[in-house]
Amino acid sequence: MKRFNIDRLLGFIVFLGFSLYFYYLLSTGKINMFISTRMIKYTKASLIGLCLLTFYQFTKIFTIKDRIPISKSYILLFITIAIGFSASQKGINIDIAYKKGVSTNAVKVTQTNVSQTTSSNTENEIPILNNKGEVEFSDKNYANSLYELEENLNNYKGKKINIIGFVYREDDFKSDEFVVARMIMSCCAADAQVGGVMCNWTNTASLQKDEWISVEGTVDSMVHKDQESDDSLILPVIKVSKIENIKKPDQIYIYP
Amino acid sequence: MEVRSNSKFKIRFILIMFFLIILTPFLSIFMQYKISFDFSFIQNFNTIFISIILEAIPFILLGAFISALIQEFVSEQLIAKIIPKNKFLGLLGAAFLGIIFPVCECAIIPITKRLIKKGVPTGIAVTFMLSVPIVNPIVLLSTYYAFYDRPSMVLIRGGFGLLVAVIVGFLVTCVEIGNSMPIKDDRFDLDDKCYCGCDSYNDLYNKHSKVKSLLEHTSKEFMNIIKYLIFGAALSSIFQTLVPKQSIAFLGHNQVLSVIILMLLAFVLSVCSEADAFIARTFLGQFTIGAVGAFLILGPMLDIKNTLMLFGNFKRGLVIRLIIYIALITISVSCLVNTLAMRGVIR
Repeated sequence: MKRFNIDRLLGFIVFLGFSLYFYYLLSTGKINMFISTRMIKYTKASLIGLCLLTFYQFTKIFTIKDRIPISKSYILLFITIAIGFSASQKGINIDIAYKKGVSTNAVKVTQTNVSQTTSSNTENEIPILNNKGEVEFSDKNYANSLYELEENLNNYKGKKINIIGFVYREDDFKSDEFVVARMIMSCCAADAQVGGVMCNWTNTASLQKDEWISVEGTVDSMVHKDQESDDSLILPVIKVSKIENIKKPDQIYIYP
Repeated sequence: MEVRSNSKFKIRFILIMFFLIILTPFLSIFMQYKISFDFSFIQNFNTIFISIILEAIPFILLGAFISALIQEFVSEQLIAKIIPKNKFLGLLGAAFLGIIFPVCECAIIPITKRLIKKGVPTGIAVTFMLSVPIVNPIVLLSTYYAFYDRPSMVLIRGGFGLLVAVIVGFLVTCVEIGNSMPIKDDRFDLDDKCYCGCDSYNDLYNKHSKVKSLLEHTSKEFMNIIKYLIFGAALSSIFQTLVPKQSIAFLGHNQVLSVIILMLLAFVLSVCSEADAFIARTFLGQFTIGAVGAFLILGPMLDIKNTLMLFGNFKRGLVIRLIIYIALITISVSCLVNTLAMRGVIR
């Protein structure tokens, strides 16, 4: 009997395809488009596993064929690898932010905090002010800064702020409102949430949806009534003084 | 012809899910939200699809490997010695075993199948399968991290999740007494030494190296599971890319419907249980706490990926019954949570 197993050959090609794809993503750094940094170690480990299995499948090619017919599911796997390579060329389109909606941790209005204008809770404060006493949002501490700003808003009212993001506007925003937003990925692109800060600017009409900008302004607060739950939220808002167009950053996601 | 009707059923199931998911965008149009089928749809679909697959593959590999380890090194006799005679103790033990088994829901199905083959009673294996993805310490930690201002959520997810797992396992034990093996008849069962082909004669006379055997089982399980992962990821990505979140928010405050809607969402989104806490968090303002709890409890137990894998590995009747039990028990437990929350018992 001929010592050549087509089924095993296909299996070998599939495993080889996956191994090469994983290696490609890891070595070019494109893996960050799909998976959060803390999950990358699992991908690396599975690359090793896949290589092992690829090698094993190779050794089985020159064996006698089983009577099992070739499974049609190999087509599916080849298509997946093809989609993989094509997806890694372009990455995500910010349009998806509109499907996900902006999520916020803003504090609800209660009797006590509405009338408060002075500093409140300082015990759990995470420092987000830079040397000049301005609020600065960097990629590394973005999630923390956002949480801190929303939680202890009163501490930051009146301070200057610097933040970058893409322009996000919902239809029911007022004509001078927009959100300067980022995509926050905790595990993989599928669970990415949109977070950001509301901005007030007179020239908002000139802003294109999804363009990347750098915002400079002063921190203030506003009350926003949520339509469905009838709750009122205190949101941080930036009174914008300056906007600059920037190039879309290489790293569009925030990994908390 | 059990095998043929099962695969026809699988195809029908996939087609139904596909149409349901394609229809929801049209429902959204009725509610006047924009849908666009342009290039960005393909871009986003590809990215989300690949991200789900990339995230899941390490865990599927791990699950396939552990299943192969159990196949090689754990004998039926060992299992028979460990399982307690008392049904309740067995169920509770299986539920808590999840704490030391940090395995994702993708990985748990090949492991469970292997355990059942090795003689673990079906009900206990089911409780194990349902509780491991929830009581997983990594999952509980990420839930705590996502709900930092509402730590009760961790208790709701862990405690009530365990409860659902134990009750479902109990129901399965009661109903399945006397039923035959729940594993789907796989004509090409790779465990039997006799493969029904010439290659088996070679194997019988050669010494079976443990390493080779492990590699063989791991690859076979991996290839088996991955096609379900691909289908599940595709359906889930279509949904995510097409349907805006706002379109389901209107039911958020209804005590019962909010639970059902978020359970359906958890089923369709198929997000890994380590990350779904962050998505669940965004529902807090608009949905009842029971609904968010239901999302967190159902997600690790049942979603499109999982269900397809279950249909592929277990007998169709059992899977359908399992889905019904899980859905009903989760709905009741979550409505209970809502009631307790209204009385102020839970915050």
